[in-house]
Amino acid sequence: MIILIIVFIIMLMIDLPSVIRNGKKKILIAYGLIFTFSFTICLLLALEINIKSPLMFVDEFYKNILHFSY
Amino acid sequence: MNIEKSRISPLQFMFAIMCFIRSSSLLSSFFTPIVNQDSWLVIIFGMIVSLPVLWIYISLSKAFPKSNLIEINDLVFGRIGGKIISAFYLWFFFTLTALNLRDLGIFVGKSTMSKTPPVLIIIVFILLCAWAVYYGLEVVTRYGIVFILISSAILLLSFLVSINIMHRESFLPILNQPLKSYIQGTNIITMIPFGELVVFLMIVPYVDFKQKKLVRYFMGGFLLGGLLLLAVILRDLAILGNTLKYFSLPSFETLRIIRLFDSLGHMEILFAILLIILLFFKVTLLFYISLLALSYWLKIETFRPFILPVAALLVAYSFIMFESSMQQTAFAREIIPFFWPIFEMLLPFITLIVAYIRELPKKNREKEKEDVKV
Amino acid sequence: MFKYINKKLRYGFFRLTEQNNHPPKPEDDSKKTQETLISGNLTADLEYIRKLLGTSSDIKMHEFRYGEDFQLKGALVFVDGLVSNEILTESIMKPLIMNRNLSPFQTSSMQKTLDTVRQTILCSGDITEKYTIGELVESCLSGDTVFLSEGFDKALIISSKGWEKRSITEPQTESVVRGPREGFTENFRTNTALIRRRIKSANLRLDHMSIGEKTDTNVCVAYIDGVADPNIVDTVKARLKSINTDAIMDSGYIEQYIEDHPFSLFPTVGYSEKPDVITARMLEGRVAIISDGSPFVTTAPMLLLESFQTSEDYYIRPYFASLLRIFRYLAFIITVSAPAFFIALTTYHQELIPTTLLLTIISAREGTPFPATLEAIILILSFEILREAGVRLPRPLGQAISIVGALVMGEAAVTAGLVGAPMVITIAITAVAEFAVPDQSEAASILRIIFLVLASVLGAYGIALGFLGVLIHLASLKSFGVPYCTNLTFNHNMQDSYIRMPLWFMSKRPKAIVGQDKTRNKTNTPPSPLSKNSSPEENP
Repeated sequence: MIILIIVFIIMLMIDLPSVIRNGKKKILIAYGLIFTFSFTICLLLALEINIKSPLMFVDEFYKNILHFSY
Repeated sequence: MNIEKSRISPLQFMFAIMCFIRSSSLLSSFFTPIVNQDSWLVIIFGMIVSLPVLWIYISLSKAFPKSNLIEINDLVFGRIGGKIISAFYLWFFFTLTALNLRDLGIFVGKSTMSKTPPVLIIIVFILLCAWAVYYGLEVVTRYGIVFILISSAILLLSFLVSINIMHRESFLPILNQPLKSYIQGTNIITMIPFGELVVFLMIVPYVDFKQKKLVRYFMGGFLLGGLLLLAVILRDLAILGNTLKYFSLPSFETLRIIRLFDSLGHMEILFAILLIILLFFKVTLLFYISLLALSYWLKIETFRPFILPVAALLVAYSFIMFESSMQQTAFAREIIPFFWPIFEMLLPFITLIVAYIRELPKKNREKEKEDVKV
Repeated sequence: MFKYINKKLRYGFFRLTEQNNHPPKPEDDSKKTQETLISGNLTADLEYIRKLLGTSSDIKMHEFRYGEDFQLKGALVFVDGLVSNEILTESIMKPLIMNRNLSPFQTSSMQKTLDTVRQTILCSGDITEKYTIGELVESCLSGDTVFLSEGFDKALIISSKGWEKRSITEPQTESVVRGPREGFTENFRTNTALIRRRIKSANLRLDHMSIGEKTDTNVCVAYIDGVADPNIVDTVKARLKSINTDAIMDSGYIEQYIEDHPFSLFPTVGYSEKPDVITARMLEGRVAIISDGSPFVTTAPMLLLESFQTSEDYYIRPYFASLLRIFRYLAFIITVSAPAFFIALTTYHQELIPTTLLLTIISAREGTPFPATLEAIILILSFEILREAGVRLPRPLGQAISIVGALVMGEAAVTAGLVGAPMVITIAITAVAEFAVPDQSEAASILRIIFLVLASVLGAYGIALGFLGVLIHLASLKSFGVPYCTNLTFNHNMQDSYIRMPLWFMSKRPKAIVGQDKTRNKTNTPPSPLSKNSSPEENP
């Protein structure tokens, strides 16, 4: 947990200065979104909250609805 | 907008394709238990079936020589439609990268570092990939040829050393299994290494060759890579015979069995290092392509700030992807043959048809001519 | 992340260069005084020179009288030891003093008299006129003789360089079995002559510049016009001009100032001590930088391949040359990774070692007190120390050191049970292999330790990662715009990379480096004894 947060803070420290210096708002927003998304997922994983894999949705969709399977 | 400024040579492109296919030899266990001793036939079938798919890719990149896949989608489907289609591709690229990353983690954990936690293995690995991706396409593809040389040398060596333990009977009987398993096997092999070549549509515009030669290098890479894959399967099959289907890593077992001069056995360390290297190439390329696609999708001039967050995301994704490797294998055998075609055949084909109906490449050419005149 | 590191490093580098950007002020003042013109008053001028140069014992100011009835007053200024006594007496003093025809002159006819002295009296092929005291002092310090005379507001600079110098000898670093044995010397002119003698083409360019505020070192950029890429030549010149330092002691200084990646382990500027190597590189389109006082000539751009080439590769027939080259690549891999592999095998993957060998290793390591990694590091360290000691000491003593160090200490350490014999063997192989690729030995020594640590932490996986890391780094390197491993990754010109093809086959110069003139020979065919030009006996 703590290690994870430290790692993400380090990442922020590395990338953020160049993003801010770049000056383009679009990059900053995109970076913020990607970073938050990535952080949330990692945090959920670290907290051992079960996240349903998107591939498993596909799996169920194919097996139960389309019945496409060998 | 031009993110990737460097250009790679056609040979590098060709060897990148070869290396990409060759590195999939790890995944041979997806189809070997289905077709057993006819695995090698299935590869040949797969190569034949893949030819029309490759034709789609080649005609797409010929029609839009200066645009990558994301840009093609924007051109063909308009802004909003293109964004939606590209989002699917983006997810596909990310999934591929995470899948390969997961494969690597499992493989290294199983073969060499059984006591190290897989998180550590994957994190160290993705950091290395991130370093390569940071430098761009030239660095990512530069070593394809060297890796191919090393892997071919090891392949040849293992062939020479193992001739006396190869059995002709391993290949018999030929073609005595139900038709369904051949179809399934061919389907898997078409989707997993060969169809994945769709990712190369992202980097074709950065290869400096003349349009006519595109076919030669694309097909050359595909055929040579396919042959290498075939050679690997033939060797494993000839040595392991009927037991092939029980192993999740047939090549690993093969090299474990091979003995050189009675005393030097256990060559699997060579295989392990080789596979790490090959998978490194594949993951790096896929990682690079995902990032390139992401930045083109967002219309941002650089992907460098995104490397680390995306790397973290990939690590997390590779862990939540499947609960077990059994599940992964089942998914690869049963669902992927129907699911991957959406990205590898259906979407490119639709793109091609829509482009044809809208007569897009023509307009494009006229535009280029105008540009030249201006 | 890398951007961050890069930025930090750049900042550090910038600070370094910034410090150099402020030259000390006193020198500015001396620049101004050096622009003083020659007055024509001999005593005053000599006094001024004496003031500038201080009381150095080697600066001689010889005043004398010459001309008709010795009516003219003249003076020679030179640095004792830098000028050739023979030239000074035979070509300058003797003709001046023996001449009795030169009559005193008026100010209006000064130029005429000067021309007479220059054209009919002095016996030298290289005489120039100078106007300022500064120029005069400068040429005096570089070994020329300055002739001043009462009433002249100009000085004649007579070339008389003739200091003691080392003669051309066989180089110590790159000895060959076959091939030319001469090497560059510390003398600038000798070095340029050695190059000029080998390339008689009119297109050879030797562009001169001087670097260093205090040493004012002569530096010469040598290239073949047309063969060298003009962009690279310009880059080299621009980087040389931007060097801001007060001293250049050796070409090694220049290398470090102009290289592309100052923080990389790998050198991105090449060097050699042999004229044949340098000319061969120039003929591939590289630019050579000759600096005064150094027998090592720098070449740019450098490719990784260069470290694995030797001049002998091209003088012997291709088969053995190719074999040797492959061995060199292997040696580099061994020297970098052998200890790491040993550690990985013995600590993580024992099952991969053949059983009998494993037993031998175990019995050898029985009773050794340290873990294998520490043992390897200790041995590597002691090897590096031994080598350093052997290099610095006088030769006879150096041999004693290596005997005591290698034989006595190694043997004793093994028998005393401090280290295992297999480890000693591994390190010995590593050490020997290092000398097969001398150009990269600095990088190899450091990489070896990095690999060792990686292997002791992550086993074979660590070695694979280290290998990949080195490859990424090498792929990202560029030397003067040319990718560092361009010939090794099958972009083009593979005739001369992992193996060396026959000479007649290498018809193209390396594409990544070369300028306009891309071909060496037009025909790509082997020399055939049945061709038209063969001996008449065969074709009657």
